[in-house]
Amino acid sequence: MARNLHESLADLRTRLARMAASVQALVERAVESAFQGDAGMAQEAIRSDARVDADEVEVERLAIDLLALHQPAASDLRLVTTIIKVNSDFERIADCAVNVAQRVLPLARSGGYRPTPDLRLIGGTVVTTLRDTIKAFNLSDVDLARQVLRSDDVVDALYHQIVQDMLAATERDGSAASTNLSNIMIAKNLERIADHCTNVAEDVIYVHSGRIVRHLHAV
Amino acid sequence: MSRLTAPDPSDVRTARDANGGAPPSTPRPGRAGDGWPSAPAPAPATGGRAAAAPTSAAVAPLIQARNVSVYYGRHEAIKKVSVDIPEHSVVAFIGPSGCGKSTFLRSINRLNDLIPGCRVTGEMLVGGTDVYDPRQDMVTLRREIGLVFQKPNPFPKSIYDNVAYGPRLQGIKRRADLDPLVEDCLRKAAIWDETKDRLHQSALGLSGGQQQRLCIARALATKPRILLMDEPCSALDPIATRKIEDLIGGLKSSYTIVMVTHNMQQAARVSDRTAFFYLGSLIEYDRTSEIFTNPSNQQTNDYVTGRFG
Repeated sequence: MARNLHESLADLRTRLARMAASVQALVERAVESAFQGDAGMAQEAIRSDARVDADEVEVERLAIDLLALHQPAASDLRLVTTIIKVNSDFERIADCAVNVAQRVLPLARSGGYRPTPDLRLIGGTVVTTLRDTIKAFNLSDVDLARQVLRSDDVVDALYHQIVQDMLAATERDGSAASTNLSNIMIAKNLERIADHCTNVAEDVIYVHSGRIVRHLHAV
Repeated sequence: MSRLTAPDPSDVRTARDANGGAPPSTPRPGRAGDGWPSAPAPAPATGGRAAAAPTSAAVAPLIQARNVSVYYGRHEAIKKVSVDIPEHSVVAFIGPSGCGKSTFLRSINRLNDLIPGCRVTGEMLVGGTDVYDPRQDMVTLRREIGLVFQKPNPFPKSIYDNVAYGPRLQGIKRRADLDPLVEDCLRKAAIWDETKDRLHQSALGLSGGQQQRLCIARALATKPRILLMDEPCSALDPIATRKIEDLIGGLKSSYTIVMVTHNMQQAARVSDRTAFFYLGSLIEYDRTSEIFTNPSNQQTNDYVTGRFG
């Protein structure tokens, strides 16, 4: 390890950005598989998780090495500790997307699956939110991070609406219970992805300002 | 999992502890006739850019620098530095070589007086008394403010005589008085166990780390209120460094410690507050945890992250 702190830090950022891009691709594929009812695409999404897992371990290892070897301080310290946290959030996002894809598999095989309009909406919103989150982190864009925090409310509202609609539909027609439950589980996992995005967005604000904004519900 | 609207990150700097997190400092009991007022003096209005030292309003800081400038001939080595150092705290001065941190440290006990052409302006109050007052008794000043240098510098005498040197000058001659004093100082400096069986052997036979702890014991023997340390560990190996650092942590309950260090990790480990000097100016002075995680000043951030210096 002959390299200096700033080269190591730049390398760490690059690896995290690459990993985030894989996560973005995985989520888009999983959501698209739900939109299309496409089992092949869902399988592809599930398979690509192995790469994300390996990337996560590598980023964490490099970050720990950097802490041990360079003892960063101030803005560098905030960045490294945040990368460790964000790394784990991205990996969890990929896991949620895999859960979505696994729900899609039986639906797609049974044929004729079409997601509800709200499910399409939550899927599209979450994909956009994740894209903004990654961009906010890579560019240290605090304004975009705040936008991500606001968009979580929309996702939460959509999720609750989907749960209510699916319960009502099941009461009307018990034979659709299994599909309706899958829709709820897909929405639940998408909602979890948005939650992880808010974690990352809060960390973007922390890296920039040193201020921990988690659990603060002020405007 | 509802997260409401995000807080506005624009008011980032407003949440700082207004009190600066000063530790509760206990007023020192009065010592009659030593010329060091122990009653809290009203804090004078602070001038200079970095005066807002974090201290409690009730107890005046032990060391108060007010617009202190130090000149070497025409060169202004220290530029109007104002800083408050509370009693029973450890303050670290950091900054690149030549930034003035050692000069400022030495101006606290007038060690620059002997340098030809050196001139100090402003006020350096220690315990409310200006150390540059012409009536200042230098013997009292040097007794009250101990100094530990970069390189261990024991006298070529026995371990015992090194520690007893100051007290003997003060007129303490009887073994019955000196023995417990020497033991107490060696214990406080965490070197008693290593020296108790060789007290009358030469101090020069000790290792570097032991010599430095002996120098600290020697500094403690005159019962100072303040210990100034100028890079006390830079000539020591990591284990000896660790021992000195542990020692500093233990000493602050009885003393006020001001240290210069080039080792930023050391400043982070041992100090309560850190002052960053650059080109003779005090750039930032805050709680150590703030300086090393979230400094207010970009230059401080650049220095502690190793981007310059």
